[in-house]
Amino acid sequence: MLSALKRVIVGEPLATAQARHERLSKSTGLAIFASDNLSSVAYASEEILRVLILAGIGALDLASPIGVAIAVVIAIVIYSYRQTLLAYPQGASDYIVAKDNIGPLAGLTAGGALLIDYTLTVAVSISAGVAAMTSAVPMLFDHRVIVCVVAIALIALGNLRGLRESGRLFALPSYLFIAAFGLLLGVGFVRYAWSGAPAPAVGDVADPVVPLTALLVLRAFSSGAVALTGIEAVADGVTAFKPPEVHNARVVLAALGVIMVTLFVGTTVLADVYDVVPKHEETVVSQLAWQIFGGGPLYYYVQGVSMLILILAANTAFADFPRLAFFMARDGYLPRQFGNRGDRLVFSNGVVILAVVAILLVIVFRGSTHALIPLYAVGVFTSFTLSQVSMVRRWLRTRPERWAWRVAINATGAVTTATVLVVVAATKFVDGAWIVILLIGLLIGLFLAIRSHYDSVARQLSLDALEPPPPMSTIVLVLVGDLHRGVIQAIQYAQALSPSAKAVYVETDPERTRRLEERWGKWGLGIPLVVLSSPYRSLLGPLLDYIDHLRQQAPNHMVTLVLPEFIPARWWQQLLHNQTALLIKGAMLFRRNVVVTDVPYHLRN
Amino acid sequence: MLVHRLKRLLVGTPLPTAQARHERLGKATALAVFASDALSSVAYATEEIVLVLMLAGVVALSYSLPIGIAISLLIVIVVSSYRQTILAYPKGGGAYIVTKDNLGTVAGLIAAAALLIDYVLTVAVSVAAGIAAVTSALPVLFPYRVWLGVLGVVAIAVANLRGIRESGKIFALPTYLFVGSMLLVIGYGGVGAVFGWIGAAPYAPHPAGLEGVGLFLLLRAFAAGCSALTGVEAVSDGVPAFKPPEAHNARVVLAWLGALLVTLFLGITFLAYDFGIRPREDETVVSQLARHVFGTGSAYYVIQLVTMLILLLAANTSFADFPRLAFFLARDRFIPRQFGNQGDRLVFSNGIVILGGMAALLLVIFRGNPHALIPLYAVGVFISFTLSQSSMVRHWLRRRTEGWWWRASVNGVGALVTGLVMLTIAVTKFSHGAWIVLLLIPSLVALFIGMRRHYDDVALQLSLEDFTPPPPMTNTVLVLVGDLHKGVVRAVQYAKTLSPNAKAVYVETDPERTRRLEERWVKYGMGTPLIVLNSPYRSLLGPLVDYLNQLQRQGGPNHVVTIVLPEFLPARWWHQILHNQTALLIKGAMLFRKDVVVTDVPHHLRR
Repeated sequence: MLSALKRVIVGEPLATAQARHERLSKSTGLAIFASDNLSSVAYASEEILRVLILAGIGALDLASPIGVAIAVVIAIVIYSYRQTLLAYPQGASDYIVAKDNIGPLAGLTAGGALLIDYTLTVAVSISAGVAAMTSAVPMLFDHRVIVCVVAIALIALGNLRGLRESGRLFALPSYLFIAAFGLLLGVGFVRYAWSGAPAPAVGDVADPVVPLTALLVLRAFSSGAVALTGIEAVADGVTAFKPPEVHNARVVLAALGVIMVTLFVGTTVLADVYDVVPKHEETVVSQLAWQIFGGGPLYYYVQGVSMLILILAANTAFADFPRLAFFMARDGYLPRQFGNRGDRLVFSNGVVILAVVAILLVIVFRGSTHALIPLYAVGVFTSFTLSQVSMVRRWLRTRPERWAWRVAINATGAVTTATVLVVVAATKFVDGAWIVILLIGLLIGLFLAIRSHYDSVARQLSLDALEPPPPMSTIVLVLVGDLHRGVIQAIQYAQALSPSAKAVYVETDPERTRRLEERWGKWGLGIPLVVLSSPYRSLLGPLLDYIDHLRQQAPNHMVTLVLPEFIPARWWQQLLHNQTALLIKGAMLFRRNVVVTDVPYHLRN
Repeated sequence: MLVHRLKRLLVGTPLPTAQARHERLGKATALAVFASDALSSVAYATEEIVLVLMLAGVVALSYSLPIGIAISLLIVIVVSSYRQTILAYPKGGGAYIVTKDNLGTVAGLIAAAALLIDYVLTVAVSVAAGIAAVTSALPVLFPYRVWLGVLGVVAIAVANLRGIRESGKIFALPTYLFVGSMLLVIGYGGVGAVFGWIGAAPYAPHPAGLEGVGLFLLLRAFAAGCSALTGVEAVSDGVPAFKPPEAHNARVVLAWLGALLVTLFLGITFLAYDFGIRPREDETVVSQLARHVFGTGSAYYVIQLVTMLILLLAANTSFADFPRLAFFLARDRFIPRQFGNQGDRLVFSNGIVILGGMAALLLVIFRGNPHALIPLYAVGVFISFTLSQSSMVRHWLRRRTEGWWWRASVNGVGALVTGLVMLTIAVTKFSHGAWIVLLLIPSLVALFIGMRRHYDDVALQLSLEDFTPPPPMTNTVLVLVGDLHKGVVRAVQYAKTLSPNAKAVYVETDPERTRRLEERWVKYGMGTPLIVLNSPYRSLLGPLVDYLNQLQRQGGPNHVVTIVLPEFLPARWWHQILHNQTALLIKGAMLFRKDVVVTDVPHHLRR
């Protein structure tokens, strides 16, 4: 029943041989790997404005210079990752790069930061996508949390089915998005050049609450730094490109950088010259599109495409998170279950965990993008910095052709991203960055504890230096509470295991014992019946005493306890019967050299 | 281990079966033990009447007097009827047993369902009313009333899990203190009212009546007041607990109970009317009355405390009655057997836990408000009254013992009156919650019958009558191997003790791993043959099931396949999460497969 439901939702199982790698051309690759990064254009400018507005409308003019500064960081990071690609043609996940070049601890830090980052990508992108939708359709605003949860669940389901074949599906929204923003910027700037800025919307704008300080500007900068999230995706996915892989990936990365800088700086400057003021229930992009296109089809086109690309961005995290979890599980830092491919060839456990945590985040933060953003950038910049530092170490060690130039590039990247990391951590600390810093620490501790557990188990189970074990024999007991067909079957089974099997009965009422002993002559199939007395009506106490007594007699040997158990035709009927078998199994679980065997007797309905 | 120690601390060490004994109660103690449930309803019955009448405005309050008198008459009738029941059932005549004996199984089950619901509601209503007595005196606690109520229920449940049967004397004190203090309020207040040194309560502005005084409203008020009768049946249930002559003593105690109940109930109803006391949300009528008569002094606080105590005691009686009735039902196989087990403290632990859980749930759902719970309450009580009285009529008509005609007519009047009251309550309170109970009773009855059918069916299938044992069983032993480590070596060794022909089975997902395993198998396999099954979909179960099918086709009659699973058990239970749950998966898949036995061989890790 459950299995049939799973088949309908998730699909038929796929054979291992069916696993294949679809190779992507440059244009498709750009669309697929760019969605995460490009989608941040939909909210990054707004995050800058939201901080600046605290110092009043006048402060909003600082948005443009801050946008340019962030664009410079983007350029540096992209240039650095182009170097990384040369060194890691098999895919340069920051976890692997940092582990290889700095050491396991750095790798785990990057891994922890990335896992958090992917989870936040889902939560932030979906919240922002739903915000794009509720800006256009305000009546959905009150239900945004539910809409977000449903969206995450749908994406998770899509990924449980396996979305790898859907490269082309990704291409369309990414290019539609680029086109939409290109149009928005083009028309916006032309109209501005033609007729100047429109009259600023007269609204009830709050008075400045804080003075315009350097700290505030830095805070605005760190809010805008979310524009960098997702840049690392191309470097992670080199192997998916058509050959020559590295060359193609580097071209795509450069193209991504150009498009990203254009769209992000364009949007920020446009918002600045159009004097857009951030509002609670409508996004900045929505306001811009409304001012430039009016409420016509173009406006809805921009909003619709923004939502689509944000959902795609969330979708990339559903590919990245399980893959990273797989690598970490393979190294023994995460439970093994993350290493299992489900029968649709996807890492089902990773998909499910990611969805659940992201849904929790959306619910806890009431589907608000702005509340989640402060948590976001810390993880991203932690992994950027570690990855760049790793590359510096690598060039210094391997000293390939032109190594000094490469070191200089990655060092610039490392210094820049580290500076941004410190700024983000410091300015956003109380807003939520502390949660992420704490969490990364906790995750590293967890990874190390898991690894040490696996190592300890492997040592304990190792066959190295195993002496030939002493010979083993087993004493077989059947636990009898009554005499019925199920018990007869269990006695027969015990006889098949050992000719010297015995039956054991725990006495709570001498009268019942007498009746049982009378019938035993006829139905006991000739095996001896041992009666144990129980003054406290407990089944377990006397049984445990007896088993311990037997084990003392033959210390190297096993005791097999056979339990007759009847299985009702329907699972809920189980509730109507005493759970003796379960109780005994639980009690014997941690007792050495005791094996409990159920002999099921199946009832008809 | 920790859970176990916690249980010992809260519940106490186990008691041997031989310690079960019956304490016999004298009349004075018995009155205290059995009266707490019935008498405690005095604390809220008057208020329920007045609350309904207020809907028609202050003028309608004068109707509380005739309604009070009518309910008192009802008490007299019901008490007289139950005195007859005691004569016929000196071993204890719970409504379930009496009805099942005389009117048949279905009627008995209806009575049982009504009673089970009634006991749950007794706990919920009594605790809610007890907490209301406390919050009337200490208004700061009013916002926490739901949590206080849940805490009260949990405390009573824990005490009952320890077993408090020996505590008859604990009961006596609060009951007599309550009777004494209520008599004092009525006596002092009554004299004060007559001689005029206690005036009417100050006028409090109150909304005008929303409805006119109609017959329906009066009937609703009457139905609300009928909650005063709950608990009257307790004496006839507990006849064997009396000192001999049991029946005689029980009848005397029941008469006293009736007299006390009528006195207290009428007294409070009259005085509340005379002093012009109006119901309020945050203070009970009895609290207002006591405050008005004695002022807010120590006497007032003592009265509130005693009221709370008796209400908690009333809840406590349900904790004895519910598990006992559940035991009878389980013995007759109408509810799960687990209710028939005495725990190691000689109490029916499962019944106590279920009762406590349901009552706590009701308190949370109804926000600890007794007025919201009352409409659900009285229906069940009167259904069981009516059934039990009708049964007695049947009983006398069948037996025709001496004086049968007189006895039949006493019980006949009782049956008729309680039947009418039941109809009145069901109709007037239907939309206020009685429908829940009227829906719940048939559902419960259907559930009881369904369970009985299941148990009968199982007994039939397991019966040894006309059963000839099949030929001796043959057994094929397989060890499922996923890897090669100490746990696997041990499992292989164990399998060989079960059968010299044991085979190892490996499901292949990756040919490279198979090759490595086969290499090492030569060294560690102890000569056991290794069978490799191919799995194109990476599934462990599919190929295994195919192989089992093949083995079972080849096996003769009465052939069983034993699958031995090597399983290593981590030293800490939460380490389990870090390992693949293969064993669990296989056990689950094999549970409903015939003639397959799955055996775990645990290998215990040290840390």
